[in-house]
Amino acid sequence: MSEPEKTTPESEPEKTALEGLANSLARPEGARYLILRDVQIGVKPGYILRKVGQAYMVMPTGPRMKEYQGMITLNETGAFLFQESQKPEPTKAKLIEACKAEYGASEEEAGEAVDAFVLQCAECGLFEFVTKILDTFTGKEITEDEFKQLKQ
Amino acid sequence: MNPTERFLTHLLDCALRGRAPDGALAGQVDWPALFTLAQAHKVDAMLLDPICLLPDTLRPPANVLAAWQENAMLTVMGQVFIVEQLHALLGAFEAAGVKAVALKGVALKMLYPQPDLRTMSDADLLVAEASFEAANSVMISQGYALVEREPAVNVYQGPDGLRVELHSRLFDKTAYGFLSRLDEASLFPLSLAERVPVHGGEAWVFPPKEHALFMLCHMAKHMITTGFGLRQTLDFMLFAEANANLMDWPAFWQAAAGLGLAPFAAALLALGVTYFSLPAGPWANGAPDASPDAAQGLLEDLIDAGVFGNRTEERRRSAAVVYRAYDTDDADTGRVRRALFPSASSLKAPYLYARRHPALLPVAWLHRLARYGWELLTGKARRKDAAAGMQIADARLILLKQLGLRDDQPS
Repeated sequence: MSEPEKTTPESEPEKTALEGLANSLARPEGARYLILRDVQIGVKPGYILRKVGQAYMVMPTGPRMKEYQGMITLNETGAFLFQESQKPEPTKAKLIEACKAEYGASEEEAGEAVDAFVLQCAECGLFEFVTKILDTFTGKEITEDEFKQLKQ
Repeated sequence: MNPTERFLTHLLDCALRGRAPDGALAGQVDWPALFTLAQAHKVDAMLLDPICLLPDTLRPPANVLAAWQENAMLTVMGQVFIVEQLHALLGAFEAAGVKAVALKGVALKMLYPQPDLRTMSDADLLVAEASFEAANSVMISQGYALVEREPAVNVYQGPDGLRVELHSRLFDKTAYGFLSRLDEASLFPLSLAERVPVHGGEAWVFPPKEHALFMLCHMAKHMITTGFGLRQTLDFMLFAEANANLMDWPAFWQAAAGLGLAPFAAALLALGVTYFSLPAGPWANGAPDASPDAAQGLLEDLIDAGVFGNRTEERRRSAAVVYRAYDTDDADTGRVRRALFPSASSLKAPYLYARRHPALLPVAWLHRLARYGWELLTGKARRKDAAAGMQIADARLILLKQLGLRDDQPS
């Protein structure tokens, strides 16, 4: 079976940010699937923020206590972004705008702060890492289960 | 009070009222001593916010502040965990149809501006005597191990660390002083318990008048042995303030007077007015005038006691002497005899076997003496500790008389 024609970034508009990112990445010759690790913005349920003295701390509650028995300290900016992340349907863009409004930061400064915050939250387990798989031949995102089936 | 103790009370007042401390009072404070004293009263975490409102030049040294900050954070984390465990347990009681009334602890946290900073180390639950076995079954089913058994009280240790005292009775009627004439069934009927919101969930609690009376009796029970500390004092004061318009205060004062506890309650609330900004209110309806000397003596005793009245070894030694004064005709003499040969009811661990088997009381006396001798030999105790304990007992007996708590003598 012949391979579907590969599209180039210039010949067809990118339908999603994921496709745009995929098209901009160099990949090994012949690679069909791009596996990208992204962060889902939004605090996992069961984590609470408390201010104690001069420090802000995030603690697990309920079933989360079985997963993580400790606390995470945040600075004031981190605590602000944490609270913003707990609002309905948080996105990176909303966090950046909130940061700019609260601290008078530039787009670039706010973007850097939010990127660092999001990555650290993911690494601490407060945000969820999500895996996205792009079939570069069809240009469509597929699920992990579909990917596993294709690889078998 | 020395400047450090005075500043402790001032910081507590600021913590409760959300005020910045008066820097003029901070000049002579021994910060390490204040930290230690606050920890002895389990109120250190509460003080961190007002401390952080002090100018940098008046704050504790960096190493003390860092330890204070870390301690407070661990306290909050621990309290969140304890409250979660307790509500899981209370949910199990509800599911089993057993009414378990929460006493102190979780029932009082919401009185404070930051409930997680009002610490509780264990949970006290009261169930009807007829439900005690069913309650025990609930505890076991939730993974709690029975670790200690006293008359009408089972003590459990939970799988995640929560310690629970399960009571079928609030007080030991065979005890001395006012406890011997306390009619628990009449004063604290379980049928009156209400299910209300508490910190972290809901719980059965006594209505305000009964709850206030229980708190008073509980403090008095400790007062006639080792004493108690500032945390319970604040609980009572804040409870009176929060329920100022919600309970029958004349009835409360009448019940307190019937137990001989009215002057004691009045002294406690007088301290609230003087040191902790307790506003005037209906809580004073029916209250006797508080003796300023008694109130001041009470404050000094509270500060010296620590949260459980056992801040120092001398204080612990004084307890048997004080308590034994209630069942003797020679309360102001014979102190050495009472110290050496305490009654079974005044004994604590590891001598509880003498309470369960009174015939073993002489064995417990020898056991205590041997233990004290060993402590002297190993340097863990000093001869002067015993003398200091006697002095404390003497001073406390005078204070108890001023507060009207000496049943054996007219006040």
